[in-house]
Amino acid sequence: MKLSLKTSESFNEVMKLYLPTVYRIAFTRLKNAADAEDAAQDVFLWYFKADKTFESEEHRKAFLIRCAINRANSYASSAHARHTAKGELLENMTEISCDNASETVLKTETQREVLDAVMKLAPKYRTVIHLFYFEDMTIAQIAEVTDSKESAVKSRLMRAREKLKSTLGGYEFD
Amino acid sequence: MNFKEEYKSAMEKISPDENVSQKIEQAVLNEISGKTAAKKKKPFYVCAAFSGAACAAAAAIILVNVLHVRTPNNLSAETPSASGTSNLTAGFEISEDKAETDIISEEFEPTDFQAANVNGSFKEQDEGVFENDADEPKDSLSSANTAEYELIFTPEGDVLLVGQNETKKYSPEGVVSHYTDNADIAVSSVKCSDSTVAGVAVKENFLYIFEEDLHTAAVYKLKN
Repeated sequence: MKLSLKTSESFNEVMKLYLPTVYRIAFTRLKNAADAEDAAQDVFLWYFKADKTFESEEHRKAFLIRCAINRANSYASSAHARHTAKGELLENMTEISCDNASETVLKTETQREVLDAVMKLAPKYRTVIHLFYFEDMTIAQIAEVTDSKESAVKSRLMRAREKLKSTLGGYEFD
Repeated sequence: MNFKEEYKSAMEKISPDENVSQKIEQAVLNEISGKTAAKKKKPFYVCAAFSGAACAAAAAIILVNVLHVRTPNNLSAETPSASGTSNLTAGFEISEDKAETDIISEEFEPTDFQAANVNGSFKEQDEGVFENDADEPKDSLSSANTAEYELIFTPEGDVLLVGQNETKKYSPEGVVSHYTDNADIAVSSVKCSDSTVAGVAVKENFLYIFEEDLHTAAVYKLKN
């Protein structure tokens, strides 16, 4: 059965179900709560206007994840422009944002350590790590939503793990 | 320790709270219903050449940006018309009243740009013309109204470059943070509510959408 947004699905229900997913992907890319909110808002606006029909919930989720990645990537550029316009370095801004998020949101030092290590990775590595370890997506699925080859995803995942191992040490990576 | 478990636990706590959810939901619903929304989204037009005094404000703003990254001496050496920018060889035309007022306003809407000569040449002004904000460029640019481009971002993240006779679709390739071939930039200045697009260039099969620094660009590849 094909699921159409405006016929059989409630937009609010879709938002409640997938907002955390979209928000986290945007946050992973942007490292900033306010920007992540804006990006998430854009994604759901796109979603509504697109009025696409999905074969399954997996397709719907994949579409939203793809939109979130693309929107966050675009937003990263504009965020960069705003920060540099203020005479601030992006690296410093994001570092501060990340630390604040860690301090206020995370309760344990271990989790903060892990999150900080991930956030210090390059964007392409962060996205792959998040999709693989948090969203439990396969290499093939990640390749599809990131519009990349599976070999490229494998390579990014491997390099991201290597970087995390050197930063964290003592962690097991499945 | 297991990385996956720790990372999942950490990320579970990064989630929009109820207020944020409601705020986003309301903003989206407002936008859908056509009410004043938290964010305005409008496509903007990529046109060809500036004309007359109408280009003064736009060109001044653009070149103020350019001057941040280029010396005046370099300006005279760069001729956008001679570059490989395909059929997207210039910038935006702005109506005179908009040029003097809206372009520096928060309310400036990119749709106010009008069509201009897509294939017209972009001739370099005298060196140093724009060093002083009070100076205005001479009316030596092509102004024939022959074509209009519209740049549309699709939900999938692709970009449509819609012309009168053809539409080209580009897919995202990444971000170039130190683009140095400024001669290829078809300068423009479009303020959007959520982002700043300061220039657009088409080179071979790639579309570059620049930020204000004209060095950072989102890169899109032509889809067949």
